[in-house]
Amino acid sequence: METDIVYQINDFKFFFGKIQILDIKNITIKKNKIYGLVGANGSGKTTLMKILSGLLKTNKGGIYFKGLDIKKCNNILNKQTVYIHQSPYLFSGTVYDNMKYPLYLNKITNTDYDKIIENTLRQLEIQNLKNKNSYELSSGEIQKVAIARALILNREIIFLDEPTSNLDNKSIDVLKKTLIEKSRKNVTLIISSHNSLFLKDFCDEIIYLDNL
Amino acid sequence: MDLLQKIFYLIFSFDRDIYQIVLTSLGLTFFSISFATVIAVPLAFIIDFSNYKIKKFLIAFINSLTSLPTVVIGLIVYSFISRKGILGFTGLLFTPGAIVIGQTILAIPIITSTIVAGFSKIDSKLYETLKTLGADKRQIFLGIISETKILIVAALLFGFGRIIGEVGVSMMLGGNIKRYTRTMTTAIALETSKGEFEFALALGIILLLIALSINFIIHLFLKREDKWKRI
Repeated sequence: METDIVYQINDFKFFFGKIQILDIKNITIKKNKIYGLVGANGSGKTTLMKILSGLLKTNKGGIYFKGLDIKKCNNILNKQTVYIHQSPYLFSGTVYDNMKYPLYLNKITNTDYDKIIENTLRQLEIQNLKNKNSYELSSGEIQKVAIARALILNREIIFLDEPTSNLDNKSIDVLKKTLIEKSRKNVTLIISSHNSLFLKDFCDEIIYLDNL
Repeated sequence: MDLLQKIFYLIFSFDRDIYQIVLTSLGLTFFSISFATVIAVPLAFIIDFSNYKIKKFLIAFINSLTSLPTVVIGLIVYSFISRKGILGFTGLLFTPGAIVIGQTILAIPIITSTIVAGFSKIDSKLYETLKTLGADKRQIFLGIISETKILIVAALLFGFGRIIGEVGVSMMLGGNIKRYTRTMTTAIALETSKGEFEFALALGIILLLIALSINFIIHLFLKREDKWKRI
């Protein structure tokens, strides 16, 4: 049966060693919606997003991805989700190389690389950075390139960890516009941010994580 | 001719004996580092990807192996390949092959620990970024190699610099046989004991130049890496 629930989290606890990071009673994440993740520093926003995107493994039950126990979904998650770090890592080489690399990793062939890269960069208004070396970029530019690099994969679910932390107001507006366009194209977005104005403005739902 | 003139004459007249020794040293070290690389690079990855407790133990173990005296390694290998040893039938003792075996054993922990130390400075985000962008295990391995190649080359050069200057293994396993297993370090030791200072000093200067050049190249590599780290 087709359901619009992507993630279902029930009574989930997560520990790093003996330190408890997460204690979630109930969260439901539905298809094609934009979710804001809010919580103080150390409330486990990044940890939760990494678990949901398959970057962090959990032995405990309580999280279901499209009805399946998340423990068994690692391979599916790697192909259906993408996570963008708060301070992202760019590969050595140019912005163009960074954009092309995920296409190569996912064996996306028979496509006009130049065109698809150009279009994605244009969406975030960073086409001028295309031939710049990654070490020449400012932290805001790195963030925008990392977002563009993730968007190029057309994943169903996109996790953005504090995407506005290094961006100016104009760039935040451009990002907002791009993300809204994405959500209209069957994409689920989960965004953590301290900028509650940014989240309240366009998120369908805000999830609050309490400090433990 | 005073001492300095004699030394420079030996170096710049391309004295056959001297350059034969230099080439032997370079060749043996090259082979030792090549074999060590095949083992050390994957080993560094295995250690880096181990779980926290095992990793901590393996790092401590590998680091402690780097301080093994060269003569002890020489002695251990000697006990295996000497006529009475388990591998005595191979007839490897006092051959270039024996030196390569000893130097490879010496180089493995040095290269491994240098690479692991370098990995620890790399952002864990590199692995996560590759994974979230859809890389499979092989692609993650190749991606990390590609992003850390400067660091790996620097570790190999560091190992080269350390191995070319060792004397214990070469002396014990090679036997310092002229035009066969005589390396720069064993020749320096021999010529000094004979009182042939010019010859020993000429070799010493060449060895010093090689070691300094390697350090300079490492410095250049690491400077390039600094740029890369800012990403």
